[in-house]
Amino acid sequence: MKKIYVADDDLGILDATKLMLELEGYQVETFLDSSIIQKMVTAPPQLLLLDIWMSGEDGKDICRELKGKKATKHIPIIMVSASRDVEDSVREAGANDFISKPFEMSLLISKIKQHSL
Amino acid sequence: MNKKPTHSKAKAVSKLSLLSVEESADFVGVPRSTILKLIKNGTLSISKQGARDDLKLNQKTLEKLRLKLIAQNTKLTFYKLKSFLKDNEDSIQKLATSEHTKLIGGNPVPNEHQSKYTKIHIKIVKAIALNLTDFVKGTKNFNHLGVEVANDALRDNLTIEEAVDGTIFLKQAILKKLEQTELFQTLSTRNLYTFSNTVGSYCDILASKIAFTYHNETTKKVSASESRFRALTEKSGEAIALVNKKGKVIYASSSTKEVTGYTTEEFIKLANPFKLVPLNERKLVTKLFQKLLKKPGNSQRIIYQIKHKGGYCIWVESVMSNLINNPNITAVVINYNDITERITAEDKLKKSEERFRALLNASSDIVYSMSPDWSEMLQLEGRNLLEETSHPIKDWLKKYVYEADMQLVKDTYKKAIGTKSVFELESRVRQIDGKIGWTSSRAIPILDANGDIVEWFGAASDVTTQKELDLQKNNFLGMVSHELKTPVTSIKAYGQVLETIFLRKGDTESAELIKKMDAQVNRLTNLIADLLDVTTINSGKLQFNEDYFNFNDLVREKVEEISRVSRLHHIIPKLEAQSDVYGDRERLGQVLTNFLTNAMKYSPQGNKIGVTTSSTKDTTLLCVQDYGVGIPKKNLEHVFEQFFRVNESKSETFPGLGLGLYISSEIIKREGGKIWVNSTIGKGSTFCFSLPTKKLPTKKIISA
Repeated sequence: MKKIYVADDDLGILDATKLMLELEGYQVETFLDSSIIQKMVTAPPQLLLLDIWMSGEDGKDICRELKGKKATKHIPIIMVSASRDVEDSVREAGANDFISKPFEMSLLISKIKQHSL
Repeated sequence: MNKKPTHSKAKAVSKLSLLSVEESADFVGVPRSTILKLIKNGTLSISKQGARDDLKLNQKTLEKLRLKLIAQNTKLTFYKLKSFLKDNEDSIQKLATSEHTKLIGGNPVPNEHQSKYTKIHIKIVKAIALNLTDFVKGTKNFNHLGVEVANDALRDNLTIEEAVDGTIFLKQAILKKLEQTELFQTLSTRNLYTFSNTVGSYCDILASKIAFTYHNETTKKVSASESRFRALTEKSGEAIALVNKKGKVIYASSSTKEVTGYTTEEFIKLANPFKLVPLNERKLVTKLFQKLLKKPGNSQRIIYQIKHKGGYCIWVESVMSNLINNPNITAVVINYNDITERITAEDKLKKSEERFRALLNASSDIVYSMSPDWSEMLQLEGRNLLEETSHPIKDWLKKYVYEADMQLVKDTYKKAIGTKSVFELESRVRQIDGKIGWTSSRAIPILDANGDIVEWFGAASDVTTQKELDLQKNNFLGMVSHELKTPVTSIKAYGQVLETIFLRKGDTESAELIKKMDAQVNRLTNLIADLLDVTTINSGKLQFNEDYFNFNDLVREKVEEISRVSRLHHIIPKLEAQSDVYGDRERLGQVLTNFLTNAMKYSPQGNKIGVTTSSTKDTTLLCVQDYGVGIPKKNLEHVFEQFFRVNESKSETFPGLGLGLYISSEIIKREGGKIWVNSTIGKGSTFCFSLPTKKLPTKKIISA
């Protein structure tokens, strides 16, 4: 079963996204803060869904850090944001893709499939 | 430009963009009958007659016609404006004078100034009329006229206010007078804008030139009067008076007469020398004297006015020393001299300086001047915000400008030099306290007789607080957007999960309900986005990230996106745009989405929707055509207004705040394009926008 990590500072979104992805047959783990970084190294998933606005942290920094690490740089990261104007900066931070909130389930699933073949 | 590709492109262009008579009329901006008339007399050729005998016209030819009509109209209008100015010289002048009178509180302009004033006004109105069409030449001419008027005014003893205000009130008077004429009704917005801009610029040039000439002259006068003053005091033009405890004069020097006009005897006979001080200041001076009396050995320097024997007031600077306890004197010694000339000169300089500054920028903190090519800063008065520069320096960029903004400053002044026009920029600066702040800066080129730049005069004001507030507001809006969208995201996700579960259980009825809920959530999402956009547009802060991009690709992308949402409508793209477009891809995509969702919204029967792109030499065109309900004619011109909604009393109502098309039209306007709609009730609507094919960014033009 493919494993996906979801990192967001909102419990509601984490819960709903987890349900959504599990329906599609993924194994999902959720993270509220930067503990995600450690976990990415020790138990790497097939893909990370990362919100741009993490509690107390900039998701872009986390993305940059993960993409700079040898152990994690190959893992696809899709960044999520409520703002539509951040796509460029997200790509600069090394994210493989971007989706804006609120998202269509179908679009999210197709993006995940595209990056975790 | 290379000839070959242009040629082949022209061929491709001529194949497409055939417009119906109605579309043509809208495109050119004339009534339908005019188009038909032009077809009849052969000016416009018909390119194709369709199956239903539709007259089709080539858009390229129409574009030519449109430009020709605009040029003709502009020429004619400016000819009319010129005669308007000539015919109304006198009344404009009178209006300007009366406006001025109102401002200075109903006191009429002094009679002896009236005729001089009139002379200047008439001269300026005549010059505006003469230079209406050639702005470049006009700018030159008005620089000369400024010096001429200033010298006239100086010779005529007009104050700087009178000379400068003349030009300002004149500008208002011209436009006010124009509003009263029938000509005003016939002016297009564009022509009116050009006219008022031209008049405004000319008057501004005059005002700054006059102020500058005055400033120079008064500076000269002050330094002259200062040295004269020194010469006088060194020769001891001082008068001395000894006053006893009771305030009685016991001695007056022979020079008393030179200062006050009173002889020694007359002066001593005065019961109290402070009687010479005007009432409003007498109390203060007497009080100071009393205070000093209590402190033997002390002295006090003050400046006040006294009444000269001749009946007028003079300014004196006086030093009072309490020598009561000195057995040889036993009096207060007052040394005083006439400083009227210095005070008035200083006052004049202050006034002219204030005026000069006010003209450049109402709230200027900083004034500066630059060499013609900006390689040197000649002078800068920092007003405690920036470090002073009193001698020409070459490394001014490094000294004042924040590194990241250097290129921007360079580009902006190069452009201003190239066009000999005003330099205007908001940029970051190094403050005297080492902090980085924001200034809003404006500089005017001063031209010589040959039209070459002699010097630049600039002023800048501190806009740091304003910028910080903007930043705070943007952060706040970002936060609002995030906070509102977060719960909506969860609701939407839960809904989609539920829908999937119901579908898998085969409960299509419940799934259908959830789908409806999801549609409502989408509405809410769009409303939040629209509200945020409108807030930013209204504050003039809509951000644009412009670059070149493939226009057809963007359209294809958006069509695909929309098709995914609704399978009810069949979208047929016909994408024939020839070149890349320069603009904000994201924002233009937003306009496209708006056009497409509108097309779907207003054709609820689920028809086809046509999307076309095409190019002319100067523009790229996009149209979205639906076959839905259409818009009543009377509403057509309002659809791009804020909060407007097509609200017919029919049973059908359509969702939305009525902000989408307003936002779209603001975006297209900001990109320098045109947006319009054609519609027939019951048959459908076609929404279009055109974007100018922009040349290379200005940065590249300059370095070339």
